[in-house]
Amino acid sequence: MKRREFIILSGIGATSASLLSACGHPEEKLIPAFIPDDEYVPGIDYWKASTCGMCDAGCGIIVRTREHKANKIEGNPLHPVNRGALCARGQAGLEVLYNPDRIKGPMKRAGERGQGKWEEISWDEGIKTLADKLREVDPDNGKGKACFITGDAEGVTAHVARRFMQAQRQAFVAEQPHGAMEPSGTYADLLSGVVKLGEPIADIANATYLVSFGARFLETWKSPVMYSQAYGEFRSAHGKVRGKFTQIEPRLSLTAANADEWIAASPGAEALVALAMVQVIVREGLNKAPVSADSHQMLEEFSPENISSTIDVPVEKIIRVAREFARAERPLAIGDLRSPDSSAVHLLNAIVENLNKPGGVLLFESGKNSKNPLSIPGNGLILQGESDEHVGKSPAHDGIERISNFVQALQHPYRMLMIHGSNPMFAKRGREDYLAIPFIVSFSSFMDETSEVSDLILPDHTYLERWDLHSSLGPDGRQAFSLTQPVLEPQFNTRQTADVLLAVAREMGGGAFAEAVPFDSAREIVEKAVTELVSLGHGKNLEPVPGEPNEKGVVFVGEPTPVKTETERKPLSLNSFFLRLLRQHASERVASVNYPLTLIVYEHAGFGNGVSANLPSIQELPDPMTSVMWGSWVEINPKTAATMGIADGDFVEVTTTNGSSVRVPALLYPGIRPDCIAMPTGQGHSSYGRYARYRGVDPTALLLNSEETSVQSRLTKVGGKAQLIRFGTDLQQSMEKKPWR
Amino acid sequence: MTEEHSSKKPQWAMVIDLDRCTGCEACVVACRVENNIPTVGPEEAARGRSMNWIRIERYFEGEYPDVKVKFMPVLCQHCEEAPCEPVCPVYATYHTDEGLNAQVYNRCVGTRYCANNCPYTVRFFNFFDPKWDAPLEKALNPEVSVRTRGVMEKCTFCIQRIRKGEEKAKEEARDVRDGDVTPACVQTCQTKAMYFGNIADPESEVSRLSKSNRASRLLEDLGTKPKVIYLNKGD
Repeated sequence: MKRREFIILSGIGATSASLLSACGHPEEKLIPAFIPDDEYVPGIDYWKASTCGMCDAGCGIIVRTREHKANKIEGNPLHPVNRGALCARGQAGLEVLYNPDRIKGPMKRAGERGQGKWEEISWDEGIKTLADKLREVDPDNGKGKACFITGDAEGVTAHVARRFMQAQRQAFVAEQPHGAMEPSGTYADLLSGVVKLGEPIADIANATYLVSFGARFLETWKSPVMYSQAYGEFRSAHGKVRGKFTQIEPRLSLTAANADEWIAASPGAEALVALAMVQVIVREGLNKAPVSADSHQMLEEFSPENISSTIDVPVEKIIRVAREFARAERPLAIGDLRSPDSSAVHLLNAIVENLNKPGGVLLFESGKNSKNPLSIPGNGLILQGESDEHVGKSPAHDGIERISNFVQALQHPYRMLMIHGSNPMFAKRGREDYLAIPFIVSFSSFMDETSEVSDLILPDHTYLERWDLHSSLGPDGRQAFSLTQPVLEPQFNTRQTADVLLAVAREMGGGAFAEAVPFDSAREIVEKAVTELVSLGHGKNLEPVPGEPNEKGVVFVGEPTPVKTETERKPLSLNSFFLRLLRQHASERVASVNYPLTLIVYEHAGFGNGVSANLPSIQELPDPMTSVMWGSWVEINPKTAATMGIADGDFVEVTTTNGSSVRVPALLYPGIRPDCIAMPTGQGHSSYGRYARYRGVDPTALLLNSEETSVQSRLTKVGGKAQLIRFGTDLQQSMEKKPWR
Repeated sequence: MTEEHSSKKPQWAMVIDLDRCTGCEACVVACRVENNIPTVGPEEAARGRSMNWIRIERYFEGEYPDVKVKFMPVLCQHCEEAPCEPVCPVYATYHTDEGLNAQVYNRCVGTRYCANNCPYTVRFFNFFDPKWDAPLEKALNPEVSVRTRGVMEKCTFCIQRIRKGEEKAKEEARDVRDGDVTPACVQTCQTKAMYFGNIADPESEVSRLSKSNRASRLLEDLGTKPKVIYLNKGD
C-alpha cells in the first residue's frame, strides 16, 4: 500500500483548496443549501462529503443532493477506511434524516413524566430554561451535581460539554464507545518498554490463514466495512493464494457462514480453544517465538486432551487447526473476547510472530507520544486558544470519566441529568434511579424510551446535518481524520447540541468556560481543528479534479506509526495469573437442570443495539441467516426443538436466571449448538417511532447485566403459532428439502 | 431475440464473485434507495409482496455441526432469451439493443404473466400505490420513475446510470469503458464482489472474468442465456 498523505477540501469552484481560504469565498458557499437561489442550479447533483454516523467505524460518505434534497448516500472512494464501499445501515441513512418520527423542535413536558404530553417551545426559552436549571444546581453542597452523559465520547459535542461541565465543576460522563477498545494485554507485555498501545489492526487482506474467535468482522466487529473489504482481498487478490478462514463460536453467524470451517465450541470457551492451540504449537515445536521452559508446564493443563470435553471440540480437530495455523505462511488470529480471554488470542499471534508483519496484527502507538499532533480519542481536541488549565481537572484520567454501562453513572445522586447520543432507558436498567432524578434534559432527535420520560427536549441534528471531526484507523493503521459536515440545511427546528451548550454558556455569562472555549459554534471549532491539521504540515492541498463531483470531503490521513517490536527475542513467559483467571472464567458457566440452555444475545447487524430499528428499510431487510423481517425470533437447534415438540413458528417463552422472560416465535436453525439458543438485539422498543414501536422483543433485558452477552435459560412451549414474516426462501423448507410450493 | 447489433453499442453484463460475497445485503438497501423501491410494511410483507430487486439467496447444506452456507445475490439476469418478453400481451417488456431487458412502466397493464414466466423470480408487482411517510419522499431519486399500482418492476441494471455514463462518454467522443457505469449494488458492495461492464468489449473486466474457470450462470440449462455470470466459491 502506497504511502499517501492528502487533504481534499470542499468548496464550490474553489481553486485553492483551503477550507478557510483567503480567496474570499464566503463561508456560506460551502453549503449548497445556503447558496442564494439565483446562483443555485436546479437539476444538478451537488455531492457533499461527510462521515457516516450509523456506527462508530466512521466510514467516509458522499451524499448526492439535488434541489435541497438528499437522495443517495455512497461510500467515499477517497476515504481510507471504506474506500468507496458502504454497508446496509450506511445506505439507509437518509431514513434517519427524513424520518417521519423525528422531533421537530424543542419541547417541554406538559403533563406527568411519561404521559406523552409535550408543549412546543422556542429555542430561546429552551436555552434559558437549561441555563436557569444549571444555575440552580450547586455542585458543592453535597446534594448532587448536574451531569452530562454522552454516548459519543469523541465528537465536538463531547469536547464542548466536557469543558462546559467542568468549568462549573459539574459532572461529565462518557459512555464507552460501542465495540470498545481491545485491551492491549499480552501485546503490551511482550513489547516491554513501549508506550501505550492503540487499537490493534488485523491485516486480514494479506493473511493466508485466519482464525476468528467469535469476532463477527463481516457484520459488527469494530469496522465491518473495512474488514469486509479486506476479506474480499483475503479471498482473491492478484498474486496471492486464496486465504483459509475458520470461525470459532457457538452460533453460526453470517461471518461464520462465510468461513471454510465453523467450529461450534462451547459458549464462553473460545479462549480455551486458543490456549489449546497454543499448547499444541508449543509442544510440537511449531512456535516461531521462543517460549520459556516453565511456560510449557503451565500450558499442559490446557492441552486439547485435557480440555476437549470442556470446550466440546474433538482433540483431532484442535490439533489439526493448530498445526495449519502455525504452518501457514501468514497466520492471523482475531477475537471478540473480553479481558482476560482476549489475551489468549494475543498469545496465539505472538507465538507465530505475526506482530507488525503483513497479514498479521499491526500495532500502533497512541496517546501523547504518538507522532500525530492531535490525539483525538481520550484527550479530546485541544485547540490553540484552549487549555485544560482553565477548567478544573476531573479526578478521572484523560479528563473524561468513562463508564462502561449507564447504571454505573447512576451510582451518584444527580440533581439534573443531560443525555446525549444514547438511549439507556431502552434497556430499562436503573430505571428507578433514573426517574428519581429531579430534572432530565434529552438531546435526542427521536422520541425514544429515554426522551419519553424527560422534562425538556432540545433535539440534536442528525449526523447528516452536523459538524464534527471523526478519527478512525485504516486497514494499514493510518489514522484518518474525516469531516462530518451538513449535507443540507437543517430539515427541522433542531440544533447541534454543541451549539446549544455554547448558547447556554453565553446565557450564563461566559466566565471560565468562555476562556476555555473561545468559539461561537461547533462549525468554528471543527474548522479550527482542520486548519491546525493543515498548518502542522501533514498534508498538501489537492486541486479539485475536473469532472468529478464538485464537493469533496475533508480527509486528513496521517502516516501509520507502527510500534517498534523487540529485536532481541526474549522467551515468552506466560503469566500464570491470567491463565488461572481464564480457567476459572471458563468454568463459571454451569448449565443446570432448570436452565439447561445458554441464551446467546448477539448484536443484529442491521439494528445494532436498537438504534436503527426505526428505519423501514432495515425492518424490511430480510435477516441474512433467517430471512425474517419486521419481527423477532429465537434460534433453536432442530434436534433440540424436536425433543421439546417445538415446531418452526411456535410461540415459546424464554426464561433466564435473572427471573425475566419473553415470548417470541421459535425458529429452527441448523447453525447453533443443541445446548444453546440465540436472539438478536434491536427490537422490542416501546417507543422510538412507528416502525420500531411495539415490535418484537428485546433480549438484553434477559441478561444479568449490560456487560454480559449470554445467560442460562430455559424454553417452554406456549400455545399458539406466531407470525414469522420471512422473505423468499423458506428456511424450514430448504432444510427439509421440501418441493417448492 | 436478434443477434445483430451495432458493434459500437455496449452489451451490458455483470459478474458476481461468490467467493467474495458475504451475504451482507448492502446491495439490497443501496438498490432500494437508488431506485425508489418502496417498503410495503409488515402486513403486505407477510403476504410475500415485499420488493427486493436484488436479494440474497441463502442455501443451507448439511446438518449441525457440518453446516455449509452459500450466498447468492439474485437480480434480473437480463436474459438474451428472456422468457418474460414473449408473454407480455402489450409488449411492455422488450430487449434493448444494449442487451438489457427493459420494462416500460406506463405501458404495463398488470397481467403479471411476465413474473409468472420468470424462472428467477426477479419481477415484482405493485399491488398498491407506493407509500412513503412524509418526509421520506424527499429522499426519492429524481432520475428514476416512481411506479404506480398495477405495474411490474425489476432490476434495470441502473439504466439511469447507464444513460449518464454513455452521455459522458459521448461528450468525450469515445466509447464507454470500465468505470463509466456502476450500478448502485456494485458500487456499495463491501467486499468488491461485483463487476459490471460491457461484455462486448474484450478489454473489459467482465469480459476477462467471464472466461474464468469458476464462471457459471444460473439455470443455464433453461436456455435463457442470462447476462449475470457467477464465479463459484473456492479456488
